[in-house]
Amino acid sequence: MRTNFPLKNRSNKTHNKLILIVVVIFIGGAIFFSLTGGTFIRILAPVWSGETAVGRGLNNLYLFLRSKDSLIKENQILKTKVNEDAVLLVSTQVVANNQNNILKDLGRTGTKGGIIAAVLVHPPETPYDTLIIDVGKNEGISLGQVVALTTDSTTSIQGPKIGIISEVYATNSKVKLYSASGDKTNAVLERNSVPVILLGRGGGNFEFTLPREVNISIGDKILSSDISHNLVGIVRDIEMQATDSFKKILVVSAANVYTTGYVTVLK
Amino acid sequence: MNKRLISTIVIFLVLISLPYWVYIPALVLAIIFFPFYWEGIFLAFLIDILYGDIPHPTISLIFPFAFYISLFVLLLIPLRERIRLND
Repeated sequence: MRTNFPLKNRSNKTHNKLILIVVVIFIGGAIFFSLTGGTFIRILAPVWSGETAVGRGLNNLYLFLRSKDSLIKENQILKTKVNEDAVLLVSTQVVANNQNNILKDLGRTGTKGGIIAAVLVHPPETPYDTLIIDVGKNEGISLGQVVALTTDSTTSIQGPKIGIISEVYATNSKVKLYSASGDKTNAVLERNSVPVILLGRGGGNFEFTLPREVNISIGDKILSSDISHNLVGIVRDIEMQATDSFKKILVVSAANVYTTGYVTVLK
Repeated sequence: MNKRLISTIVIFLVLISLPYWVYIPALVLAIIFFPFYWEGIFLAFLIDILYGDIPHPTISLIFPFAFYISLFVLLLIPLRERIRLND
């Protein structure tokens, strides 16, 4: 006789046994992976480096196979953009030099120099806002060092600061981005120098709240609160209801964490 | 090699090379498909230790993703029994 009613429940003993096994696996795994975490990163670092090289090769192959016309068009667009950016860079360099001179006169020197590192893993491969870079204790990296986007070493302009070193191994380190979910970062609005606390939302995004009377617009810049006033993010959206006393500001990071290839670990 | 072992190896390879929106759903599907997929808990630990911000080298039980995957595995134990059909 066919039936389709469920079996009688198994005895609770089997379920309890499985629950106990899961708990033991969790605790055992936590202890094991806490002690050996660096080993896995050290083992996989060459694999990630190889992936980056393969990715670049495939990209070159793709460019090689693209039609000539589309390449010519893209080349012209990029040439125009490079010329525009060159002009902007010169004026920005003048401003940066003036700022450095003023700081020097006041007995403060801007942070210069650091160790350039290749990014092995970045979002979206990591579900958390972290980067894995190819420098570690052997290169003099230590916990808490600030990490910025790499800029041209011939200019005095520092790229935006994007995070801090959160874990250090022998030849690799992990960078926790400022935009990591739940992390708070002090910053300042460029428009009216209002101090704000950016709350990380992950994926290179931040949010903060402002009283509704404070002026702010989409496209406004958010700067770091330290003396260097580096660009941290740009306002992308403002959420406010008519009856709210505060408005929620959504900010996107100035650095594109999804395509970051090199970073500088500042001294 | 059985399907379970092959799936674990495939998910591990995907974990080290593809974005999270590929390997996390793959892991969840494997936990649903295979009965008592305890290997998924180890893969979740791997995700936390490789890509998360876990204090090191102190022993810590702060592995958020591994914790939620363990809960999911536990949840599926009685659920699989209840939705099973018998001839």
